Amino acid sequence: MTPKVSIYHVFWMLLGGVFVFAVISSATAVWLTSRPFLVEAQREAADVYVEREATEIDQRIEPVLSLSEYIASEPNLVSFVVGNAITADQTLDRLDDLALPQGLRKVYFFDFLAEEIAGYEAPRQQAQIGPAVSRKLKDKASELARRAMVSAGPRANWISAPEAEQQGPGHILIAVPVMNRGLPEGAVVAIADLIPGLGRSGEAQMGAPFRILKTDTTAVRLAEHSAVLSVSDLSVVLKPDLSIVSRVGQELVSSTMIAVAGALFVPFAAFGWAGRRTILKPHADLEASRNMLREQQKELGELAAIARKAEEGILITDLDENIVWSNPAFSRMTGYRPEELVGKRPGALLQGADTDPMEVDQIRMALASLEPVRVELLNYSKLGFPYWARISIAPLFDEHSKPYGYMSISSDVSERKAQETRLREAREAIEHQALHDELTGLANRRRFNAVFEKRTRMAGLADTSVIRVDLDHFKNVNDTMGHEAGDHVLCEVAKILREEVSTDDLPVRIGGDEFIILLAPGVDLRQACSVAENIRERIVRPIVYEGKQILTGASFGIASSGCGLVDAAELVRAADTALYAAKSAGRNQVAVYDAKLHHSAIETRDTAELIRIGLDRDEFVPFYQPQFDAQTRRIVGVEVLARWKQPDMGTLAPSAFLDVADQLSLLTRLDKMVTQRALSDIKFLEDSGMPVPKVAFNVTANRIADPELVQLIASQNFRDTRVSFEILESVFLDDRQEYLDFALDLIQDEGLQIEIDDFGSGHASMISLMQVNPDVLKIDQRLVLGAPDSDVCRDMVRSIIDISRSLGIAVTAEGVETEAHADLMMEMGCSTLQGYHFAQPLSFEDLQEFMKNHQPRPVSESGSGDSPVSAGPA
Amino acid sequence: MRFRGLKSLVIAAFLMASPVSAEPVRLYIDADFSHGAQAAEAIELGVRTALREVGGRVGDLSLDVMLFNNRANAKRSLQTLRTFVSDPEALAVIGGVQSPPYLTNRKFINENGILLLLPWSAAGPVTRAAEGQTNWIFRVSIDDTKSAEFLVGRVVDVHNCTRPGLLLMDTGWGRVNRIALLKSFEGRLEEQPGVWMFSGTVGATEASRIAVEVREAGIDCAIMLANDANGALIVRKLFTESAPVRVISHWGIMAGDFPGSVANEIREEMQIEVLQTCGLHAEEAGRPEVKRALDMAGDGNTVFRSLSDVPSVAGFVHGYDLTRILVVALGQAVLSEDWAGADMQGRRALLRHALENLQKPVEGILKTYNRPFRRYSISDPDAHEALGLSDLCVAGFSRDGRLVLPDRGASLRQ
Repeated sequence: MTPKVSIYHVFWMLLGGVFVFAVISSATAVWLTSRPFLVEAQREAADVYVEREATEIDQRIEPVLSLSEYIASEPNLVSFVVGNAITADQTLDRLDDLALPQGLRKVYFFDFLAEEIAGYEAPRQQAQIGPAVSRKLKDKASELARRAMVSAGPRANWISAPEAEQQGPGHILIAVPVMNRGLPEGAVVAIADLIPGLGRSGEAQMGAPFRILKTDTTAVRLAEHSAVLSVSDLSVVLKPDLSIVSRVGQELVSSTMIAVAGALFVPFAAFGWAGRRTILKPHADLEASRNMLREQQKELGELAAIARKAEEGILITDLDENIVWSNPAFSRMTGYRPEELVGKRPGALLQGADTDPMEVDQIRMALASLEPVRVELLNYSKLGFPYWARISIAPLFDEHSKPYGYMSISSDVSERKAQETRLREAREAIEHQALHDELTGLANRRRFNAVFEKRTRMAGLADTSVIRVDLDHFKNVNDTMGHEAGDHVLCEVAKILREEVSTDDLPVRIGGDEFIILLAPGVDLRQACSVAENIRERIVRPIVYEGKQILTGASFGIASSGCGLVDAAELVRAADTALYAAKSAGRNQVAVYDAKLHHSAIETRDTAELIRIGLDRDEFVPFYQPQFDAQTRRIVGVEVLARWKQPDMGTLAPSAFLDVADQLSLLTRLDKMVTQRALSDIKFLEDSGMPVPKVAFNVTANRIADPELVQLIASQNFRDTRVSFEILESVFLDDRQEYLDFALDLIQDEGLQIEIDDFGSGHASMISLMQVNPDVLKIDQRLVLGAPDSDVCRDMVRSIIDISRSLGIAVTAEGVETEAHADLMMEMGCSTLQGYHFAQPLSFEDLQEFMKNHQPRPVSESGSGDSPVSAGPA
Repeated sequence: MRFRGLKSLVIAAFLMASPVSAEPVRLYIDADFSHGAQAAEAIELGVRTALREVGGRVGDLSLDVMLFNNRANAKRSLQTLRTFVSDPEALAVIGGVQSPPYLTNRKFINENGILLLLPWSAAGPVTRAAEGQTNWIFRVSIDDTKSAEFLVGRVVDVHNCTRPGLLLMDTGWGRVNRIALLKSFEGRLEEQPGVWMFSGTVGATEASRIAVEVREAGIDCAIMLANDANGALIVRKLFTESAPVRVISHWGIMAGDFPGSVANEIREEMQIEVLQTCGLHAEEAGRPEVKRALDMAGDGNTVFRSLSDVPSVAGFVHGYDLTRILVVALGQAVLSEDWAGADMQGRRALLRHALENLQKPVEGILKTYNRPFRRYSISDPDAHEALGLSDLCVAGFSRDGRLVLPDRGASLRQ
């Protein structure tokens, strides 16, 4: 479709075209009339310019020519040129004495072959001549000398400044023949600079500098503007740059165009302004109103069609909210036919009991203030079914902006509403699940962490207190009554927690039988203790499950930021410490993280750090307590005891570090360090000819199952030393894992001994002990120490010895501190004695010394009482 | 004489008819054919005449003459010498009137083995090689070391002049002669003669000034060393500005048309004598070689009845005698065993050796040359000089400008 050209465009294009045509016509007329004058003016200027330049150049050439002729006629030079004189010195000296013409640069002397035979360089030359130009000058001079000799008269040539040295001078060469008896026998060639700038005055006018050319060239003959120089070889030639005429003409035309344009602009502008007002504007207004009408008609038709076919219900009311028009979609949505709707108020027809009055108010206020509004409202259809409608209501204005009604567009969003509700419920369920313990319904650790973190960020506003709760021996409930019973107990405890805390408190199950309560902000230590005590009292009450009573208890650790001992962020760890203290103190009680506990915790932390350092520095070393034959008092073995040679605190016994190392899980590493060192020491003794018959290591159940340990011992290849493992009787108290039996079998297969340590201190089943098939029983030192003064102790010792004897197991008495202990144990049948009476645990160096100096008792002094229990094949 | 001429013709005919193809060799004439064309042409005439006598051939060699115009320019002469060096057929160079080219280029000549034969140039040092150098320059002409003594003797002893003066061209030639002349005057007069030096391009003004000074000095005899042009100017000015002075001139004025530039009356008035070798006397004495040479020199158009008819006769006489000696020496050289196998440089050396050891006498215009040259050494400075003091004479001018024996038949021979 061809775009319609507006009247505006036509008008302005015509006006502009006429304007441009007028200006161009004027400029063309000026150009045509002025051009001949310009050409003639340039021609005349060129003639004057050439003549002037020729005169100037002649003025410069003349002295050079005179000098050349003068020198050429010098007898000395003639004599030199014809070869009679050896040097041109006299001539050169002569030149030095002369006032040389301005710009003279060089004087060359040539022989009859035009070969240079001497040269004179004029002093004090400003501009240097490049080697290429210099060579060219010499060549030209030689050629010119030849010409001068042929013609027997002066000759000239011109070398323009090379392009590379545009700033440099051009050069005039004047050659005069050296005559000998009337015949040319050589030549003098003088070279002078043509001063830069000469002739530049006319350049701007002519557009090109003059050129100096040989007169007899075609270029000179054809040149429009030329002048022959006094040395007639050369002419000054100028070829005016005709583009200058064009340029000047263009400038003239440009000026004319600007002037004419300036002069015509005002009347054309006035015509344009008047034309715009009287012709264009009325025409444009009429056209615009026609277009608007067409557009409106079209728009209305389209809108009506859209409204009828729209999926949304459309309703138009008057200002009194009486329905004027509705579309089919509205009827489908409400169930009312259109005619039933006309004249009715929508609110009265559609709103019902559950319609939100707030939303209705919002609509009312918007209608009153003629503002558009969008709401979601529960409506009712003609049949009374509720449905959710999203309604947009806007006031309608006529062309004078006067309101005449309202238009409402509504759609049924019941389905979306239902979906949103389902989604929200599902999300809430998931969130609840993620943050709560499934079994007890209490908050879980995740929720606790989130709440606690939020609380600690606000620390300082109020006290924060935390109660840690662990059920005592809950494992027994699970083991003895089954997990359902355990779960029941946990739910009951949760119930107690919920009931005993306020709604602002947060009871949490953080795992297994562990709970924690984050008390509401501001609850202080005292109140926390009260809550804990209440809970503890309720937990200890029997819980009935399937008709059976379950007794349980709980330990409580409380920490509060109000005490000022730790930061809020550290409260959980502090409460753990307090809980550990409560458990250590016998369970079923409440412990508070107070200053004493805090001090202890810090101490433990320091010890832990020192242990780590000590491990890195190999500060843990083996000490050896010798064991003696009860009869002969010969050394029959040593027990390896770990010691910590702490640089600041001296040598420390295991009680100072074992627990902390255990908490840090460093026990295995520490054990390995001591064991390795001890094995190395013992091997050294064996290699030194002082073998220890037996070396005993204290090992835990875990350590004994470490295959590396057995390998390490085997790698020593002991010949005279047996290795023994001392295992606490208590190891056998708890249920023994299978791996322990396997490990013990492996040890014994390897030929290593097993000793039950601290026998008599625990309540291990004798049968299970005997299944181990130990080599030695070591009587608990408390029994040994008490034996001289206590019948019970003595009887127990005796019983142990009797049992051992019946099973063929050797017995070692620990804690022998006096000779009386020693004698008694020997008499009662112990085969081996160990204790401070004989030796304290010794460093390796002291052990070596001790072994060297130890004297066994003479055999005759022993033997009173029962014979000792044999320790097997050893 | 007739017999001899016939014999020469027979030899020439024989050589020309020889079925053996001749080997060409060239003789260069390096002379001033511009200003001194008359003298140069006289030399050429003498050379060609001598060659013509042998039919232009010696043995299997065909002698050709090439002319080189040095225009009295030593450098131009050097150019010719260079050409000679590179020319495998060039045998010898015959020089011109001027001495400067050979004074200047003497070292080059001797170093490059250029056989140079001088029929006119008179400068003494030319034939005296520097110590350690082989001397390749031979002369059949006046030697200035002798001419000074001759001229002084002429002034003092013959003309009995009491106040002689020296008019010398201010060139190397003039300056060398000034020393020699003054030395010769020593002890022979009460006071040394006055000396006037003038440039080669002397003009009328300066010549007048010299003439006035000569007059004022009361000079009765003047020994003049000049070329034809400036010599003529000086003589004319002496004639017009000064009292009559007897002029005894070195032969430089005979290089050109001196008589043409000086009117007869002047020549007569001033009794001008010109130094010459004694050709005219030989002619007068009836030496048959003179007649033979003149006969051979003339062609169909030109006939020489007397030596006086020959312009610049000294050039002709010396050129002829020189070439005669050369032909004999060459004939001797080609007979040597080494000749056939030698290159041109070697042959030049053989020729040089033959010149120094000439086995036969050579009949020339001036005299019969019996071994004219010898092996040169510092102790024998005249070894390459064919003429001596006894070979010098003077000549006068006839009315038509020819050189003739001095008037009144007085013997000028010394």
